[in-house]
Amino acid sequence: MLGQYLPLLALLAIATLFSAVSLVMSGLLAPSKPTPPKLDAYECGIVPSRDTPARFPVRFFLVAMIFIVFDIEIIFFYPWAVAHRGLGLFGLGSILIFSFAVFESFVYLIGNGALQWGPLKQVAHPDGSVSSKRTTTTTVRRVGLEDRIPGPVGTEEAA
Amino acid sequence: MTTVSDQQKLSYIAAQAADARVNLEIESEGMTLNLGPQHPATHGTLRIIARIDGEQVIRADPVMGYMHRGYEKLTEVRTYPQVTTLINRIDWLGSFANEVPFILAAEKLMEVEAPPRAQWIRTILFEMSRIANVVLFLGDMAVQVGAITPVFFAFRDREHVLNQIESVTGGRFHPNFDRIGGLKDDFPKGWIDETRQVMKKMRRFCDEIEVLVMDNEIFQARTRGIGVIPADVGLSYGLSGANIRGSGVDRDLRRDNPCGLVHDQIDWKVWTHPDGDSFSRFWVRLQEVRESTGIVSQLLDSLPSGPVMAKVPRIIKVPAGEAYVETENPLGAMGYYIVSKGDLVPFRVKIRSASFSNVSITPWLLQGVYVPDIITILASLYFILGDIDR
Amino acid sequence: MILALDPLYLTNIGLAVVLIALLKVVLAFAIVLVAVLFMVWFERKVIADMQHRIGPNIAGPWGLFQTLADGLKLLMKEDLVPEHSNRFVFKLAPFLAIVPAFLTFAIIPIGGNFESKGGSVRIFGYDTYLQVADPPIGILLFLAMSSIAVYGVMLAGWSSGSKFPLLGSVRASAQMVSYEAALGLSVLAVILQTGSLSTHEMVADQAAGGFLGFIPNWNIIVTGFVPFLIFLIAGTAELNRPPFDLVEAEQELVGGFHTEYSSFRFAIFFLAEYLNTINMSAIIVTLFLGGPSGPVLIEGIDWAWGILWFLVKLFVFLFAFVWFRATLPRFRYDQLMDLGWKLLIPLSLGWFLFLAALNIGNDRGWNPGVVVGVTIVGGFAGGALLMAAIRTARTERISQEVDAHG
Repeated sequence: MLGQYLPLLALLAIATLFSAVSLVMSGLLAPSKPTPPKLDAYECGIVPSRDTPARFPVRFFLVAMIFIVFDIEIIFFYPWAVAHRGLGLFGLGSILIFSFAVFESFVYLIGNGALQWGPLKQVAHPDGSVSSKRTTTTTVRRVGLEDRIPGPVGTEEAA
Repeated sequence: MTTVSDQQKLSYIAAQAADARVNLEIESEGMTLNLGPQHPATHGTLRIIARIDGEQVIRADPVMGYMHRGYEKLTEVRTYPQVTTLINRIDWLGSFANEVPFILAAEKLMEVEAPPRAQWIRTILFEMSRIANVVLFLGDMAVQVGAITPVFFAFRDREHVLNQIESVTGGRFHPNFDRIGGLKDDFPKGWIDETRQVMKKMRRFCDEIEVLVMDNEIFQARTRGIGVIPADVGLSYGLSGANIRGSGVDRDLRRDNPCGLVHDQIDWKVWTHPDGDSFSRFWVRLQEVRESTGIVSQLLDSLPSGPVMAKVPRIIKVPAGEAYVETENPLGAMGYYIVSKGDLVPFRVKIRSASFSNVSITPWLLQGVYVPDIITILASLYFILGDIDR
Repeated sequence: MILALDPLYLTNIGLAVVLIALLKVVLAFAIVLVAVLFMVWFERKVIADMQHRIGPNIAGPWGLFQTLADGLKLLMKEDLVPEHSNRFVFKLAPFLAIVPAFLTFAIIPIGGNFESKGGSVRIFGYDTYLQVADPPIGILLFLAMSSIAVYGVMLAGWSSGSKFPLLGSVRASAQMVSYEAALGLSVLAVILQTGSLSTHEMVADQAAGGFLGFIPNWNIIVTGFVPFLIFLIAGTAELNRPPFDLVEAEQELVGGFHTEYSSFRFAIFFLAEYLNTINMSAIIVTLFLGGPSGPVLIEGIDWAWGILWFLVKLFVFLFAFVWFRATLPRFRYDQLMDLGWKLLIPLSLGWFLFLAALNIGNDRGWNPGVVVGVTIVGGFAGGALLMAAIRTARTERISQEVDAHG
């Protein structure tokens, strides 16, 4: 019964109206004295020298494309989930095969580095000679009255 | 000296350069992003011109001077006692520490030595301004990573230290307390016990920050292995203070060059961390605040009695000559090179401020990093704009 | 298949029915607006308390009218449309942000007697559900609306003609799109249990039954916590709230996608953000915590108990979102994407298949132990495959870079 959607439409209308009316109100109440600096794009106080490029890195589009794979998968899942008890073993088998196919391609994508972002932080210490563990005692050189040696700076091994 | 092996260095540089390399076939044209001078994260007016590709920085150039106040020139028309008023405002978070090297350099030229009690009090206030300064860093670093609460804790507890500084010097931010030949005044009554309590509070604050910020998984994920400065690179850029100790270089002027301050009279440690990343710089600073509270407590215990002012002429004329004194300030090594011609005013003063050198590494360091990491790396280098531009 | 219909529409549809339906719409709209005003105040107060501040305390008692005052102030601020912007899209974007937020609220059952009356209450002699609409697509409307909300954020940043908003919106669309997949997959676990997409059915299903007499039959328990956790994490990311608020990461991107917005256009984005927070909490309550279902303690005012239980549960999540914001640092973009793609999505997919197999096995009289065993084996195999793929990609990249630079 499509009549149930009518309240939704009413809410849509009210929400749109609310936004529109408040924007009109704002237009009436608010001052309007635009100056070129006000209308310029914000760039931390610097006048932007170049237009904002319209192109994004392809990586973001890749995310969108992979998302579509999953979105379609989920669209198939929804009706199946509603009716899965009626479909029984056949349904389970087919959804397992379908999921396997999707998962496999997902693993392929990941294996190819499609979802590789971010810096390579591990490379900073590749051979593990410098531990990234917290050090509290090993790097400490005690100084005091007696054993203070004014020798050349930084000659001590800091393990 | 903690050295990073050649292989490490090579692979590190390779990683940095590789990150910066643009794959022209698939990547978009770059875009130039101005971070600053008016940007919520640079807590001042540093401008970073970052050429970015997607989310990655290809090259970044710091532009400074938006806050240049010409202190080096201004000192040439001020008598020696007047200069401290100006140089207070270089690193405004730890102001007293700015006065110390200048006064020490002037004393060196005049061949005056402050009495022991004055030296002790100087060192106490010096360390307290370090606490007041670095505590704010501990909170601010968390803000730059995205946790908004710790900075309020930092402000709350920093207040105690500022109160103590205020009750001695009369000024919370700009004490202007150091004099050639000693100090303006002695401690007020009851100050020593109060300060002991404050130091306890600061140690508690350090524990709190350690749990709240440093042990946080996300904080570690954001700072570990990010913005790595190998020791030799750091040294070649003239980094100092916690930035270089965070790279494993065991260098601390309080220990290595104790001129006029009494850090050699007490028992304390220099902390270093081998990693050289943003996290290690944070870690080192946290330990240093703890260490400073210990230093202050020890100095309070061993405070000698006596006058706080040596015999100096009423009108101070510094004999002709040149002197350079460098101390380990909260932000790193800070020094004043004074050239005197025997006048009431210095002939020329060169200020070596820590942040200026610390920021100079940014083009090297920011190459290939991601836009969110620019902020954490800059925050971990910890500069004060007044200290850069002077 | 019989779809449960709001009993209001089962009677003869006359003027009274239409008026009641309209009343519900207007009431929902008003409730939402008041709730947003309250939520903003609540967040500011709670965070202030956690940070040893006082928070708003001037406008009204305990500063309750602070949000109202801010809204009025924004209404009277100059509205700027940047020169380089795409004017039409720039003005359209706030609508795309706020309208879906309002519509999502329509499907949330905020009250009703689920003990004895099947979730309906009596208004002016008519039985009706306490929700604006209970369409058969139910929860799909929520997913659809959150998809549309992505456009609001994305177009706002894109049309501003400025770099910080652009970066913010690029991040936003990638993030929201990624976590929508995880969100949708974790909702599936609930649908398996309910067998219906209708939110009202979901609540009714959770209201019935229970274990040991006192443990409720809530989906958080029935589906085994994992979908709930995934939904909570993905929902936080979908809301762009901390620790996933990269979109408007103040320290990096200044204001994020709404940097160039001023006056009431900004207020609309602000409103939409908090509206979405309330909606997301309400959806979590509906899906996993039995919505307004709960014991009716005093029979005479049975309509009040549903609302009370709902508000109590809602409050828990509203507080949790505020708590996250006060406590957690922010993820970096790649860490966020890794969490979404490499952990949440495979995990929710695997969990969904596990629950489905359990259900089918239950019908066919399989030994549940076998199903669990097979799932563990399958899960390990899938996990190993995934780990191997991640490792391959990483080593590949490292070796590439090392090759390129000696």
